[in-house]
Amino acid sequence: MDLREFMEKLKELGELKEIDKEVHWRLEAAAISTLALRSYGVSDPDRGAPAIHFRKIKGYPDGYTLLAEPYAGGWKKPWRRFAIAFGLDPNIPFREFLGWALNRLQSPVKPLIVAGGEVKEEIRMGEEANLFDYPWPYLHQGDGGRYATLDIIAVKHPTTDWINWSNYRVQMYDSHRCILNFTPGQQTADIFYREYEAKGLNMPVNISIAEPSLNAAAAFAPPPFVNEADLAGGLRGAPVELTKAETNEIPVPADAEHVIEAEVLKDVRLPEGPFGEFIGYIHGTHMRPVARVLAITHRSDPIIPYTVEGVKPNSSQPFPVAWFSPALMAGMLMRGYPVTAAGFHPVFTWSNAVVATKVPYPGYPRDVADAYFAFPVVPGHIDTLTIVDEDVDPTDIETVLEELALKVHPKRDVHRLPMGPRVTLNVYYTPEERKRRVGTKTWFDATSKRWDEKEMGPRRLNYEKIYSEEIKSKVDALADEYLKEG
Amino acid sequence: MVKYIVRSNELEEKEELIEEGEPVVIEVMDENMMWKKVKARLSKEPLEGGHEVSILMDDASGIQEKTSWYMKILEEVNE
Repeated sequence: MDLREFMEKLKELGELKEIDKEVHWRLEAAAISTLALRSYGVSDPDRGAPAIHFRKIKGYPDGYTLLAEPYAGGWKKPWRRFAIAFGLDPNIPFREFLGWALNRLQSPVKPLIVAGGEVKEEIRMGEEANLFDYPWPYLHQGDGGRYATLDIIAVKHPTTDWINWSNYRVQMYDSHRCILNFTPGQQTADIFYREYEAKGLNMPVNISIAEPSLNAAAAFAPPPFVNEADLAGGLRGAPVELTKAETNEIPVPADAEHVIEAEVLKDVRLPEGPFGEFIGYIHGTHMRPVARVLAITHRSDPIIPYTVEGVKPNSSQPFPVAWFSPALMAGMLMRGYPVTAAGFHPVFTWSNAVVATKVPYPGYPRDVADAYFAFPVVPGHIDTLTIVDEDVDPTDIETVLEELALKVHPKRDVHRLPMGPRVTLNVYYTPEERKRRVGTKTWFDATSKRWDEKEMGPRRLNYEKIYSEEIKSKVDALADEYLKEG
Repeated sequence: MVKYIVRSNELEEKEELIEEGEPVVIEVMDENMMWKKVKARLSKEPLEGGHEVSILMDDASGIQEKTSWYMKILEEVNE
């Protein structure tokens, strides 16, 4: 389903509000959606805040609109909106969603190249292509500019057919230049730094605002040389329709809302930020590559979705849970680890990973941690990993906390791996550590250790274990009579 | 909301000229949140025809805004 069909679906479910009163792109829209996230986050932790379609934006033509937090969902079930986007039961449990995603991502479907498409309803070339003709929101007081936050960045490897998609925030710097937050060590960034800039070349790039399956595939972290467009097709169960770009050979989504065609300039850097980061704090500037805009194409009434980064439970939080998890799960299974569910701490998905696994031999959790932190995605964002028993749902925070409390020996089960993180935005890093990009990773072994309860004790206390069948059948009957709700 | 925002490190770099009352070329973010290069006079005292500006503190530990500077733009500088 395209973005508009997804919005219709949300509306049917009561998870989209439409606001026709004029709002300002500068802070006002973001503040309204942040307030909604906060209040619904408490009152409805499963469904979360509704997405909000702001249909009149100050200073912009009718029809140029903003869509706040389309993927937010509730903090307890951050994958919910993606489940809706893919026609699944909105209340699908995490493990079932994970199984579905794994299955679909292992069945890629090649895209279809079509002529034209809704994204060509308006075409602006060269000087006519002005970034500030569109209502990109200003999200946090103190940001260094207006940002695109829910986009798909497409670049082509210069000597192969690999077209890499990713999600990077984009700062609109001036009418014809934007800044890309390319962090070294990530695929798209490295294609630019190593394959273009190092060889004295500018890099073509297309920045698209499109539908959920494309955002999802762009967030998934497959090995190099895998085209995310094929994965999006797998998720949809049908090919993604792409169409020719105006200025480069990277095809763009035919039903996209908006596409910026640009070239990333070699040897040019501008200060990106400050920005309210996904780790929950506003950080200072980084010198980052700059793209010069060559063309903008869009629907006649483009909808620009956004997330207010750093506030919970926003549209950024579901991405690790919904799309890094299957990537990690697939990687671990391919390597022979009997992992039963990869996931993330749902309260703050960007910092804390949780993995459920069988424990086939003593010392195995260390092998899991070593393998986990060797993946490209995890060390970049995650500083702590909790390893739990196979039957624990990694997104069930209450159970994960209980496992931590009951099974982690304060000395033997807390481990550190010396490792330089790629992302050093977490607030506990000092400015010096951030500059040098050094830090450490911690993992907790919250699995059941091998002991014989009869000989070694203690015995775990719960209703099922500590009362005989005779007692249970008696009290079950009493409970039916006296303790039923209502 | 102030009309213009400038970066603290640019002010520091140009401190000497600013204190001497000389115009400086500096990047400013305007009300549209778009950056542009301008030639401007800056002061801690109000300037005739000028505007109060906010300062973007862009050190590694985060940012703050404060409003103790004034700026009068003399001309835009094309890059």
